[in-house]
Amino acid sequence: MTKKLSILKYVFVSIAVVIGICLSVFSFPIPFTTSNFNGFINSIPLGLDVAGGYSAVYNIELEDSSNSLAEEIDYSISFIKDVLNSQGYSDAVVTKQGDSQIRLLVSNNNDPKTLISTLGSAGDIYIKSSETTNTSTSDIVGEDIARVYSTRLQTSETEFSWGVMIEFTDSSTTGKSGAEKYEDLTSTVASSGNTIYIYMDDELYQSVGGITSAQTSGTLFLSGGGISSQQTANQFALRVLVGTLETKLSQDPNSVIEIPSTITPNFLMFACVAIAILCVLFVVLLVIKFRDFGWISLLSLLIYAILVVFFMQAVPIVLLTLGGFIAIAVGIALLFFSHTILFKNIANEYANGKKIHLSIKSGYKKSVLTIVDINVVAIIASFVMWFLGDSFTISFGLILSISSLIGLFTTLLVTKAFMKWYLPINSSNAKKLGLKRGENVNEI
Amino acid sequence: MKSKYWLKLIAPVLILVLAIVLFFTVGFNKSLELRGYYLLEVNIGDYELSEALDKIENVLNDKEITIEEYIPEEDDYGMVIAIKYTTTDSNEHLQENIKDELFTEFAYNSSSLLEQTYIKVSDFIQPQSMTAPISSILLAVLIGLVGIFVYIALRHSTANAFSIVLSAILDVLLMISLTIILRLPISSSFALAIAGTMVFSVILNTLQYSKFIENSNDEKMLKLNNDEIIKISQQMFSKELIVLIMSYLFAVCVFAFYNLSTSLSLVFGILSSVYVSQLVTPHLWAMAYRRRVRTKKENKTAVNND
Repeated sequence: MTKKLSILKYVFVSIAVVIGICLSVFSFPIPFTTSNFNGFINSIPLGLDVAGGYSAVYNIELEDSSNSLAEEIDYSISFIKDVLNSQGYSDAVVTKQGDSQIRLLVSNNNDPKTLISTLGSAGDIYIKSSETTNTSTSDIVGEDIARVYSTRLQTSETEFSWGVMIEFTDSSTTGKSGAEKYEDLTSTVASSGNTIYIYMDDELYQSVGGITSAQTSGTLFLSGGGISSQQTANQFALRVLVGTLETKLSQDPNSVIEIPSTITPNFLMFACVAIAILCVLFVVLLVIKFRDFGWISLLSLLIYAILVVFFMQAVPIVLLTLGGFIAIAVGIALLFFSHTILFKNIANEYANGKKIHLSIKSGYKKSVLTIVDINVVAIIASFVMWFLGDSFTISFGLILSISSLIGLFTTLLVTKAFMKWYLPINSSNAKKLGLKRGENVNEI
Repeated sequence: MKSKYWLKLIAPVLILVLAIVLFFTVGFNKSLELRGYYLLEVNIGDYELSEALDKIENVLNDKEITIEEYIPEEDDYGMVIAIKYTTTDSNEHLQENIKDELFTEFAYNSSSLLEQTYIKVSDFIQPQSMTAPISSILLAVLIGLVGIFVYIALRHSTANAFSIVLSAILDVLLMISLTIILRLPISSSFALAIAGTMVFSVILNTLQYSKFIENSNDEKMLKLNNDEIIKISQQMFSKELIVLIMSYLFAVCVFAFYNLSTSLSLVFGILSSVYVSQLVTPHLWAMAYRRRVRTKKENKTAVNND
């Protein structure tokens, strides 16, 4: 590789980094379209503690007065928490208020006002064989439903549609299971009408036509009508899910209040400045100690930052909370340490008498396992935190997993490539890399 | 070395014992969200925030209630102050009395239907449960440590894996103990302190171990004993350790503005990790390493005897 080619590669990478930074930071209208590009940073969903959200109060009414209200409220709280978690509101807080109310705090993502009103407007679900508000024992009701989720399925040879998948129960202690009732229902409508009707209380919500035979799969996929996008599919799934509860939720009038970030008002700016200071400190330390290697680490750090920001907005379950910011700081510290280990081993090899290019080669070889070790233990710990933790550690675990993986990639591949490109530019001036020979050591 | 080893273990053991005693007598110092509270919401209309706060404080102070936390919020009708408070007064009309007095204080008409002039006092907001988050994080820590144990055991040795896992458990326990002893209020974000301490501990101990292993395999140090290898490794690692501690402390201090108690718990976690990695981990490594050397020597002697 010639010096000219190396410089060209650095220039090319620098331009790519500048473009990456612009894409991460700036929002702009996309030319020749009506859409806006929002910038990676602006697209990261922020948690309740960082960006605030909404609070709402619901009154809970028992549908079966023989049940215990306290028990039903506790069950409803845990049920709503699970439902909100599955809808991406992993940091939502649901607490009991008084004897018959629940208070919901939800972050400012994915249209929380619609979520709040959907929760308060969900009624009992009935799947019927005829268009009537009268109930019958053959109707499928909430307790016959095992799972509800929004999904995208192929509806024709060329088309995919968003819809809601309803899975019926396989067994029942009281009589027929949900799957059996659905088979009976579809068997009935197959011979007359070919249509089933889905009601929320007395309101006809959706009808599904074209049923010509009994369905034995135990699942029902609903699409079309009011369900046309992921958002409407999520809303309908939420309504059906809440409709399966044995309690009725009604929104307390005027209870919806916009709540600010629970952290200091300027936390976002504050945290970003702090992380920037941390990065600058690390780069300055590396530049002072290892000179040009420090600048290489700056380029790697920028690529790392762009990739982390990109994946944080691209992975749909990421929610940036306080824990996420701590994970970002830990990830940067890990990256710094990986680089320090790498450069220090190269310096040791040079001190022992090796030439610069051989020092880089053997220093890298010596560092790989240690760098892999510290990153892998961080990935194992953070992955488990994400998978099993609570709302505070989910964000911490997920973001640390992402940043450790990208850190590993950056250190072992990107920095290695930059060091390789650097050699044609300088392979003899050790001072430029802050390298020194050991005492009484001659070049091998 | 053996006597020093036990000496160094006394401090953590004392902290753990004291924490266990306190845990079973007074328990954790729980924050407001874990104790439950009443929420008072006042739409302040044309009043200044400080003026409205003074009015609310006057009414609550008369009833010997102190404001635990206040948050300026907003709804469709303007600025709202949300006040969180607790009371031991069992008078069932207390909340209604507070509401009535506030209507008078703010000169709002309680029968008015205007949304701009409402005052609401919530029923008691039940404390958030800590059982589920703490049990899920402890399960996560446990499974995470099993994963790390398997990885280190495959990469290095079972003894090393055992030491790293033991150190991480000790660090987390010390952090929890110090939080209990110093009566730091814990909130639902305490799980973050547990997770942060565990991650810091395993990274620090893995770095420390890598240094021990690297130096013990270095040809120049073959004649050195374990104490000397530990000393050299710690000297070589000292600068990185300082930078690592400083960077973590910096990150934690930034977040202290949000949640001081969790940040302090994290600081304790970092300090206990440093203590354990500098004073306990080296001895755990030395114990494992010495056994390996002895086995080699024994084998050599056995071969010579044959």
